[in-house]
Amino acid sequence: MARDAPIRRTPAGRRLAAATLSGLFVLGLIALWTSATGQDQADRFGGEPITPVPLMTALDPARVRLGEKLFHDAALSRGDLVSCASCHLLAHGGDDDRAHHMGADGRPLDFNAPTIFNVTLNARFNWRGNFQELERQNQAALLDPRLMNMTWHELLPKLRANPDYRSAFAEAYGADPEPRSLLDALAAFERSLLTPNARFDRYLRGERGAITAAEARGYSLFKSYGCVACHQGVNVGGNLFQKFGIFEDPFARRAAVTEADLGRFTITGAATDRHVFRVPSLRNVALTAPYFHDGSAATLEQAVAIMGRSQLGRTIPAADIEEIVAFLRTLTGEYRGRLLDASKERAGP
Amino acid sequence: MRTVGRILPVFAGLLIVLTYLLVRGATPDAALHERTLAALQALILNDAALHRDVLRARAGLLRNYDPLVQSVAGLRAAVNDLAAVRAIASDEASEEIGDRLAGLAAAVAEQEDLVERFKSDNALLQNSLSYFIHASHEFGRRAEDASAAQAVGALANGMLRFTSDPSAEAAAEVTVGLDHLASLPPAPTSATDTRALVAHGRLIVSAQPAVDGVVRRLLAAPVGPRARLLQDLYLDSHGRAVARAGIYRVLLYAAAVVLAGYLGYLFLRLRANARSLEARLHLESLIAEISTRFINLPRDRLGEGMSQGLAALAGHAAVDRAYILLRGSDGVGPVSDYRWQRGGLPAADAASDRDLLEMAFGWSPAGYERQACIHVPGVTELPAGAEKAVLSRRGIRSWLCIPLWRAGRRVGLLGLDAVRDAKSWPDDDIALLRTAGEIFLNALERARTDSERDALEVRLRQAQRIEAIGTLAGGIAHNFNNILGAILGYSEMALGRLPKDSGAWRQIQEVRKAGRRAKDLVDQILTFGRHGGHGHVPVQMPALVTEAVSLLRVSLPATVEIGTWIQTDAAVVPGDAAQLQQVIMNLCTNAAQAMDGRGTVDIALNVIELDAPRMLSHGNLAAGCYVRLAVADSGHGMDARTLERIFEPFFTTKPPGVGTGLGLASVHGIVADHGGALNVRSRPGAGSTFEVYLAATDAAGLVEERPQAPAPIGRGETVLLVDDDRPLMLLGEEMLAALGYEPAGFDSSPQALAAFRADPARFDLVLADQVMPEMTGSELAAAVHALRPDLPIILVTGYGTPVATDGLRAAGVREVLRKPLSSAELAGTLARHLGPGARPAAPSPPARLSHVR
Repeated sequence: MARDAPIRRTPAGRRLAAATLSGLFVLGLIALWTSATGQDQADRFGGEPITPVPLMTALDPARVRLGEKLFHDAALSRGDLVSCASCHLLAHGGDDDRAHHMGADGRPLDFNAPTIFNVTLNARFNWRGNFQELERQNQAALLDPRLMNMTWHELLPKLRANPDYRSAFAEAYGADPEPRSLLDALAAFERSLLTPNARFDRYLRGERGAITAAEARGYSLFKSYGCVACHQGVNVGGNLFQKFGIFEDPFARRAAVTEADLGRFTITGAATDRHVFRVPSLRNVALTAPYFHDGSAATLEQAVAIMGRSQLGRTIPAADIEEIVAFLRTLTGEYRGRLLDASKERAGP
Repeated sequence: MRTVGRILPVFAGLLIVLTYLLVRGATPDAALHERTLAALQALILNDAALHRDVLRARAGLLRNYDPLVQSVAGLRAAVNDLAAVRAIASDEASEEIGDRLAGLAAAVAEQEDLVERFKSDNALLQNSLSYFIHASHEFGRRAEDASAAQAVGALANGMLRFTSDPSAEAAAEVTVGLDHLASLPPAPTSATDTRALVAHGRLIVSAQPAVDGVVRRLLAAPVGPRARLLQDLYLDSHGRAVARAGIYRVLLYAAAVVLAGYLGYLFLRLRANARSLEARLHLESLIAEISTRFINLPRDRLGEGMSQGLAALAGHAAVDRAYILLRGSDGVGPVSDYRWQRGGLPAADAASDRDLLEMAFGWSPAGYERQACIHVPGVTELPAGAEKAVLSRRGIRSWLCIPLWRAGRRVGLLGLDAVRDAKSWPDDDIALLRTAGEIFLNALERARTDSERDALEVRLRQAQRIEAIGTLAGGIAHNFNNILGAILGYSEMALGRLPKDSGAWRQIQEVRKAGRRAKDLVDQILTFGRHGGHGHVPVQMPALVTEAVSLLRVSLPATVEIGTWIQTDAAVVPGDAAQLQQVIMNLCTNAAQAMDGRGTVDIALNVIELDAPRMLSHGNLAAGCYVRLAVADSGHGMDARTLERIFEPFFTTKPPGVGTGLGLASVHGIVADHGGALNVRSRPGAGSTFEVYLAATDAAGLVEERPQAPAPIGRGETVLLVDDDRPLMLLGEEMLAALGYEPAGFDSSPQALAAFRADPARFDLVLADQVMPEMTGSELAAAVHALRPDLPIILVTGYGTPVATDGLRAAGVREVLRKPLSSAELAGTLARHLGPGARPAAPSPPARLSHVR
């Protein structure tokens, strides 16, 4: 009966349906317009496949402050050994400069630490893209025995015993520390970690002189070689999966293929996901060496060359690589009004 | 407590009903509804945007996958938001909506996977396409190797056909071209490019069908239709929920209206209660006021107070008549002067009152008793009968009758008549009116007992005075009696010695006459002073009255008529017949005198049965059976002061010399001696009625109890009777004849002596008066004794003991009797002196005793 009962069965229902439908129509128009602006986002910046990092975010300052404090607090790990910032050095590039950070069990971690900057612009997180929400990602890192090695039973009393945290949580959430509020605060802080105003972004916004002619040529090469097929969007990547090794298997010459090398396959178990990784963002890429999931490429030039061979089926000449790398360096943005420190770039491994 | 227990469940029930209506009447949460609609809309729009962007990306127009990511994120967020749909759809569609939602979520998840695949594959395809086009163009431009250039050109054509129509033939053709190109000996300058061209070409051939397949699946993904279906379903359900909520809101409104009405009803009832309470309070205070007024009301203003009280009561109850009817103490007819009625109404007559009272006491229609009162709200609705007739006759529409009780007996009623408008009395009012009735009755009772007490006091005073005077008079009379005896005795003796008709003889004769009058007086005094009912026998009052009347007709003037109303022929009282006759005689004489010898004296005799004690003007009667003798005159009557003293000895209103003041005193003495009581009713100018009440008795029973020695009866012996007083002589003759003797009477002693001398043997006994003019009794006796010494001689004297006993005995006098002669005494004496010949009388009924009948 419910299936067949028409809305117009009662006058009230008919009027309501009419009102609802007209409301929906208006809503639809608005949604179409906003959707169109999303579509126009790319067109607005000269139809380029890359768009600039937004200049501002709307976040609760109290929560961001609390998140920052938590982010830097080693108390979040068992034995007060490490904090989030131990691997994601904000002064560095949002990651560390090692291929593998040491795990809590004393063995090196499986993956190279990805940068925390602009993390919210990614569609998925981590190399395998196994998280779509920052809070879940953070909880996993917190409770992972090889990472923070913490439990809620241990962490919450610890935080509640701390007057600073009690007052900070009370200010931000009006309550004592809880898993939900702690994860929210951390995520709020992480969402604030945007690096706008990269020179390339300024170029996209119409500041023609923001990049040099060589860098502009690098961008052209970036597009013409096909890098931009995957590294596009606001975060120059981070929004799709791709197999590592389309035209040439990068693992072929390796002595042993690690489990980490299998990529997303370890999550889904699908044969088509073998060696499939999330395409990483190239924002601030000049600061995040070493490269790739295993940190196997020490420099950008190496990374670009490997990418050209394995992903594009091309051997990119050194001059082109140089120009492409020059372009990549224009993607370094500002954090809290200051350009991220490029000196670290030279302090590679 | 009982009220709370009753109200609490009602209150709780009401609360539950109202809460239920409120909850059901609440419109589904508008914010939630908006959110749901927005989510559904977001699903549809994001799905559409996704389709568009996928197509654009496939066509190479969109080189940025952020819009796809945003659309997918939007779809995911919308699905999460739609979890609220289940909560909002509460009716039977809820389950289906849940199923649809789950299907939608699955579709979105599938869509997301497809988008991921599309992004990865399309990125490669687009890149390879752009490289293939760019590289084949470069080959053609360089044209350093003609065969290679030609092969590349053919390949490019095949590829163009393949990209526009990716059929198997086209794919095969491209593959052949690629194989051909790969098999060509590589030119040293372009070997790398050729290899890359072939690799990308192979990738295009393999990737494009895959990408197109993904795109087709994406476009066919059922997210949008499913979202629309869900939206329809949800809107339908929501519409029903809203309609249902509307119905419940109407119900809620109806409940509110009902409650408001109930509140109004409660308010009105409260006000009515307050008013009725006020009225009751007023009635209570009114009754209290009436009660207070009665407490301080003098007896003589009782009637006024009663009328005022009834008027106030009637005024409060808004009735037209209020009255108190009391049953008379003799049980006949109502006695009441207490009534109030609205002006202009006809007054009820006594007969109507009596009817009403009898009707109320014998009330029969059922269903009209309330609190032991008779409550008739509508007389017209009464069943036809005596009751309805009586009430209708008085013009009553509504009637309230409150019975009045005294000592467990119903004595009267308090009646309230509504004549103009019908009226009904609530129970509480009836209870209060009953109290009012009791207050009225108590006031009447108090007045009655007060007057009884006053009367008792008066009587006590009377009795004390009578007794004091009687005692005094009796004492004096006794002494006077002795003195008179001496005077009379010596007078008689002196008369015997003095020559007749001498001056001294005449003077002594006057002395003797005066002495005899004095003696009569003294005897009367002794009569009312005497006590004790000795010698009482059953007396048939009707006969006694008849006899007395016959005597009265002789003694009273012809101008006085005597009417007798003897209503009984079996009224017997124990008593002294002579004394009782004297009572009748005295009362009648008194009555005749009160009328100045002109008018009618009515004598009534009846028997009454008293079922309650009754107070009379002179004495009280206990309940019982009484013979009532009433003597009424139409004379000048008496005032209260006179009335108070009439039975006092020596009290008289007559001129000196006419009355002695002893007649009524004697009556009082005799009646008191008989245990009777007197009641006198008199008003100046309206005559007087004297009532004598004597306890009636069963004649036979009384005689049985008091057997009397049979009087000896003579056998015809001749008795010589001598008395100068002719009437007395005649009386004596009758007595003797009645006793069975042969009387020979003479009113002159010389004639008697002459007759004796003529035939001395004829006589068996001589009975002679002592005091006679020509020859005294003793002289006669001496003469007779001389002739016949054996003959018994008996003297009769009115003056006590004869002076010289010895002389009398010498004269042959055997015994001296005292006047007046009583039959029994005479019979005994005669029998004694007539020797053994005198025999006891045969058993005979006492009724035949001469002095009775």
